Amino acid sequence: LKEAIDKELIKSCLAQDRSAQKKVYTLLLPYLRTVAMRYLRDVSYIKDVLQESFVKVFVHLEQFDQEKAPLRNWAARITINSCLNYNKRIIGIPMETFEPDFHDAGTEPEVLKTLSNEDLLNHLKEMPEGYFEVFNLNIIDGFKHDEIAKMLGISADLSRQRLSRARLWLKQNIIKVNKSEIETKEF
Amino acid sequence: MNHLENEYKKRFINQDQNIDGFDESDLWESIAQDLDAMPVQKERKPISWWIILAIISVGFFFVYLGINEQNEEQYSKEEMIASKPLETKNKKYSGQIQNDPQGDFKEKGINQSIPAENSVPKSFDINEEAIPVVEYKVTDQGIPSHDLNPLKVIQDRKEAILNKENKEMLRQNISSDNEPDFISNNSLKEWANKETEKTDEQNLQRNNLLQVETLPLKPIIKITQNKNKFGNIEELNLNLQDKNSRPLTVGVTFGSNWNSIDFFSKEWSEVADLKSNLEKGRVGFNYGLNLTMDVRRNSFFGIGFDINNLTTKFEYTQERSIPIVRENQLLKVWINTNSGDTLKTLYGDTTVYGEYRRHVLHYNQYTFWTIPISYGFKRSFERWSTGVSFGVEINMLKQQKWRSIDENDEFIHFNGSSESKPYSSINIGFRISIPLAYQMNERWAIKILPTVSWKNLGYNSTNVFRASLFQYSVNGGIGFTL
Repeated sequence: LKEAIDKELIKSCLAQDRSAQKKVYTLLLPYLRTVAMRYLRDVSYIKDVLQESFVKVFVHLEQFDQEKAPLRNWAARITINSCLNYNKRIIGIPMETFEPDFHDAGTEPEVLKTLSNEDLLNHLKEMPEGYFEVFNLNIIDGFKHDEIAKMLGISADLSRQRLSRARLWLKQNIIKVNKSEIETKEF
Repeated sequence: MNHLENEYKKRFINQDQNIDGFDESDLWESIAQDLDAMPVQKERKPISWWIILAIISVGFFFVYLGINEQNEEQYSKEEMIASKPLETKNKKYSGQIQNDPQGDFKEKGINQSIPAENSVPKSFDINEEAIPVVEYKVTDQGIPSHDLNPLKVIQDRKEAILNKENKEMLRQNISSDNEPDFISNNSLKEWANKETEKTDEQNLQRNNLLQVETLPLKPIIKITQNKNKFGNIEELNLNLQDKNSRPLTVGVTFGSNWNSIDFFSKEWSEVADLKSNLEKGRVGFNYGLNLTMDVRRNSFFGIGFDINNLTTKFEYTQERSIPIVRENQLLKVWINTNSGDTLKTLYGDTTVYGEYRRHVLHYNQYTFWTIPISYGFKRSFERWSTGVSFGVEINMLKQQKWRSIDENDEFIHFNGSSESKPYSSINIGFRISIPLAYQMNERWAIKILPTVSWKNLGYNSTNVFRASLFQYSVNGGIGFTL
């Protein structure tokens, strides 16, 4: 993908060449779609989010600096921001409180292997909103807490706190789900 | 990061996953519609172009100021502040002596006494210890030879110079007995003759410098005005993108410079100091083309070709004396005291000694072709970078128009065509620069380059004076990385 989106293609996009823009869209769509799926609490908005994200990418393409990062990463960041905005402003899911159980039950590696990608993603989205976003941004996409703080409009310390709680939540709930599935099978 | 988080990361990062039930068939059409509906964005002029425009505007503003100032100020003024009698010759008498049976009114010469029985002596109140100064009314019509009125005697030279308006005008009927002493004063004549010889030579020189009308005098004589300006330049490449740096950069810069010229002489150190004080640096202008090459990660080598046009202000007030010949002037009158009739008059040519104060204001111009060769170090902070460079410069003095004084305190001038050039045609200098650059994009950069340089101008053609030039310049421009 990195090689496919070359400078000439970007220049054509800047010249508002629709065929070039469609080519870029085709190349970026699978990844941005995955990103959106990970971040959106309600996936029914995914087309709206992707549409908004692609429009932003093409409108602001002149600000993209190829020396700093590949277009794929730049577009992913735009998509993440769009998702966060959707989660916050449009969907308006209230922040759930979560008091973690500080007894670390531990998670068996074997348990994880039994879960599909979709299951893992669904479990992620069951997290309270703040934890889910911080977990996604930090653990999977590698954003630093300072960056996350800017993106979410929170402090870096709160971002660290939420990540800590997200980790605990995940451990407890993955095992809980897995155990319940086993118990169900026994019946 | 525990194994749970690792598992998440492994599964989701940079993964293009197929998602069941995601219909993307009309997504592109929606995006294209949104893009079509977007208003055509005005191409934003980057801020850097505004900076370039501002630099150019400032440059033109200084050029305008400099030219305007020169047009208004540059002149050479020469005025006569006083004159005194020098000698009298070609004497002629007119009129008949009447009622003179004894022959008492026989002409006995200008320096001889004439019997006073029938004449009215009119004495002058003259302080013989002071050198008297006779001042003529100087008008465009000159001095009528038969008019007595313009003649007046002033005792105090300073008064004559400083306060002409308040001087007392003396009307006089002249008899031989009270002929003004200064006319027949031998010592004064000798002094005047010497001055005449000296000033003849000065006049020849002066006539080469500026046209002085003989008589009537005009108080201010303007000399040709000079126009000039543009000057030295330097350029330095600062490549901010180390990873993908293209080491060769071409730059175009222009800017302003401020100059200070100093003269040195072993034998005539006082005159050299005077010359340094009389010639003050002014704003000059530079432009040039430069090539720089990255040698290592943080160092660079530069070479270029600059045109450096600088101006200095020469201003000097010099006092001189020159002789002025008045033809057919009334020298003596004999009057019959009984009848009041004029018996005889004496006319002659009178040379008076004019005191001149000459004020010269001239903007000297020098144009250098400079080849700067420099080596420097730089440091980058994202798009900004700064550094320092040291180097030598080869200067070729291509054009010069100036006025100055020589070791004899005489005005000298050079208009570019004379053989006696005041400075060496080729000389060496040194420079230090502290560049500041902003990288607009991959290839273009804006640069500001403060520079201090020292140019050795060498000796003049008579090997009396050596000159050097300090130059402080600030140049701005753009660089293009090849």
